[in-house]
Amino acid sequence: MNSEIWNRIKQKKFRVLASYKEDMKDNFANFGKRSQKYSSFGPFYELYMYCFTIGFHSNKRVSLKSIKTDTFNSVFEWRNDHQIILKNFVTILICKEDIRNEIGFDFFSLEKLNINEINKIIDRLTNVFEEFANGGFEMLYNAYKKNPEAFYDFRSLFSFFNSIVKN
Amino acid sequence: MADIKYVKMYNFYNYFGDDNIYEFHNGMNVIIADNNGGKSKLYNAFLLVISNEVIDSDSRKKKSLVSKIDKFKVISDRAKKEAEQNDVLITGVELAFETETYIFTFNKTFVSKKLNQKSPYNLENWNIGDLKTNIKRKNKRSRTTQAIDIADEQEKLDSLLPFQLRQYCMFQGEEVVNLVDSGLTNAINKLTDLRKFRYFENFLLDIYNKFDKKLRNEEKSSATNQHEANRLENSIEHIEENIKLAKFDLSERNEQLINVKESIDKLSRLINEATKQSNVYKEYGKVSERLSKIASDIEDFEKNYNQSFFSNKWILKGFSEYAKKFDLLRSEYEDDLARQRIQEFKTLLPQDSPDIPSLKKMLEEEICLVCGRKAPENSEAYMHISKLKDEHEMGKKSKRHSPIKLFCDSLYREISNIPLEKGIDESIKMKADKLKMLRKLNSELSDEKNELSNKLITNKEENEKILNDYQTKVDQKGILKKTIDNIEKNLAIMNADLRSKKKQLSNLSKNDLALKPLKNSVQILEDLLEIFKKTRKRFYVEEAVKFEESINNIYKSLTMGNETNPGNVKISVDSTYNFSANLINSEGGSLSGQGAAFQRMKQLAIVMGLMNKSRRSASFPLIADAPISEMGEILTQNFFYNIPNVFIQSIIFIKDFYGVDGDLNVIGKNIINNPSLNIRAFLNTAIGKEQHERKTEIKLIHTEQNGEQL
Repeated sequence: MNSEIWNRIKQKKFRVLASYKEDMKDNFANFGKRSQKYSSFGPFYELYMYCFTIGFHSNKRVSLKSIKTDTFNSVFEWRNDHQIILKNFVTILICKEDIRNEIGFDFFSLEKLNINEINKIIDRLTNVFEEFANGGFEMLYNAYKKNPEAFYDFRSLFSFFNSIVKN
Repeated sequence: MADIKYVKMYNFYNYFGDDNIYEFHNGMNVIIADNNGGKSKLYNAFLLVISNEVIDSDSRKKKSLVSKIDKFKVISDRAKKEAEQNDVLITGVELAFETETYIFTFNKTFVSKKLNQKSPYNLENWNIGDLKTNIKRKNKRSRTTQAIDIADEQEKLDSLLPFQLRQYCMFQGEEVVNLVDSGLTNAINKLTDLRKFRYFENFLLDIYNKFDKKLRNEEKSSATNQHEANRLENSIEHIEENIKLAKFDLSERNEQLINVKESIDKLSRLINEATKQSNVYKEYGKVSERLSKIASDIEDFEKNYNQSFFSNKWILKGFSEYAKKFDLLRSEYEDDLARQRIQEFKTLLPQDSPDIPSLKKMLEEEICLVCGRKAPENSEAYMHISKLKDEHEMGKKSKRHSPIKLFCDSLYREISNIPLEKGIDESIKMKADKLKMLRKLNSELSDEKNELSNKLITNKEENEKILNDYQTKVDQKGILKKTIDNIEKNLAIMNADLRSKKKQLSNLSKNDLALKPLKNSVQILEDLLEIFKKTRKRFYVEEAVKFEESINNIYKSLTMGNETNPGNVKISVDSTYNFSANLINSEGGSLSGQGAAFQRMKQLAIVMGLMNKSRRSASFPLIADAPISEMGEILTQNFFYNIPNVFIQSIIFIKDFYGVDGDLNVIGKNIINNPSLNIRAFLNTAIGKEQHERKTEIKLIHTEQNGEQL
């Protein structure tokens, strides 16, 4: 059973720097395409989730203030198992004390707030999620620009991910 | 006495370059190679030197190296590829053999020149010269060398392999069948004096005919009734003419029958081959399908590889510790909640009171109905009542819990199921293993497909033609047999008629006493002829029995130790003095259905038996390309143990010793390392996957001197 707060997150359309989406979607998200030159995911939201982990493990965030962004499918349209993984990502963000302090998230304190105030904090939480994801996008983008051939092999996205997770 | 010293090849098929040499010793030499490992090409090298021919790999027929296209096919593709414009290639073979006095060197090569920079695989871009033969003879004592006239080539080659025995000393596996089935009579006739019987018989018949004619003339001139005598003489001459024609016809038909039988033999072998081919086609189809499935699986695997980030939760790698962290956070929160409830229970109204309608009424009337104090809109009291109402409403929906608690619980449910690092790592490893397995399978199936592709010599249309030809020949055989039967019956009638007429003529003669000596002579000659025919038959039968005994000794050695009874070889001779060899069981029944292994052993026993019969076998080497294949360990061993009894020098090409890892297999090691066999062994490796990259590498792996594998 979903909570009201989770339902609010599900209605979110996450933001990505417009330039990243333009450059990366065609190459690394092949949904609906027959052949693919690079190692790639299906829908764009898979690439977005992948980039979140890259950004998170590297502690790389990109602020989206005053930058031209673009959006894609709302979480509501994602596959259920992907939504569950996103829920895990949200949980992981909440686990981080620095992030909780930054956005003023405390379960017990939230109890005392009305729904509008709660929503504001949840929005701040999803902003952090977006910043990590865009941080990951920046890292992937730079690696790709430096050596596009390195991403021809179907395992290259895994290798890139693995090298970061191990570090 | 002659033995081959070496064979050297220059850019000859896959023997790229000019350093391809096999140096043989005067004992058993074994060349081990997988498919495409240079066995047939080495056989072609011998063929080129000995008969100026090679076996065309497309048509499987022997061809002389005369046409440009045939010569072009012989040139190594790698040599073609590496040639620059104006480069000159030498292609061919050099073979040296030694007799008691001389060392002969036969060099057969042709030169080709690359004309331009266009495709090296196009014949038009090459100039190709004629095949040139150079023969040298070195005297071992005086050490002088002299060139030999090409006109003497065959005579010199005869000292290595005599022409009439050549096919029994040099053959490819499948050829053995021809040698010993349809060629058996020819072979025995060549190697024995039996053929002389025919000359004696003709000579005797000639004398008899002359005496018989003389007697008839005498009888006619002394006849009491000249008219009747003339009539009888005309009739006799007429019958004799008819008998002559019938005999000629019979001999022609018999010859046709032999040819038809040979064709049937040949076609039935081709049918076996065609059946094998058909099976190979089926297998090829199956392997192709499996390969295509594996290729598609690999493609899907690669395409969907990144899906494992989600389906196998690889994306959560490095996050498993957060389950514990969140559990702590949630516990703290629940503790706080519990403390608050206790506090609220002490100081406030019972849970869920006042109820929602009461709270709504309080907000409408801007008054607290619990304490009676005013609560104007937007005042602290008003906000408190509003919050209570919101909470109750939300709490009602969620059955008691706050939205925060529900959110926390929902997060907890999922994070507590997050996979452990170990599980994710195992999943990654499993995926890698699966890819390895798929690629290995793909590679194995590709090899299998290539191997099958090499076996596909003829195509479907050719196979159908073979089956049709076979049926036609079988029909012809039936018709011929019937015709021969009729001719023989007619001949018997005509001969009886002739005898009767001759008797009638004799009875007309009045001077019986004067003709008696002549009559006696004719009678003696007739008896002699009859005796001679019977003697000829007996000699043929005796020869068959002797040969059968010799062959069965060899056959027993070749099949020794086998669990299944291999039976015996039965050599028969028919009324037209043709020999045939069949496998029979202990009760004399046919074993024609026996496996290919026994049939091949029978054929090899006959070849060895024939060579023994020549009484000169020890002088000539054996050159055999795949004489045995897939015979099993026992029969293979038997074959190798028996060869030295018949051939002092032997050069045997074999695939069966080739192991999977490019080394010898167990049976190969056992035989090669057997000191009593005194083997010199070479192991060939095909380098380069593509035809234009290919080179056959020859490695000497075992020498006869130290008896150890190198």
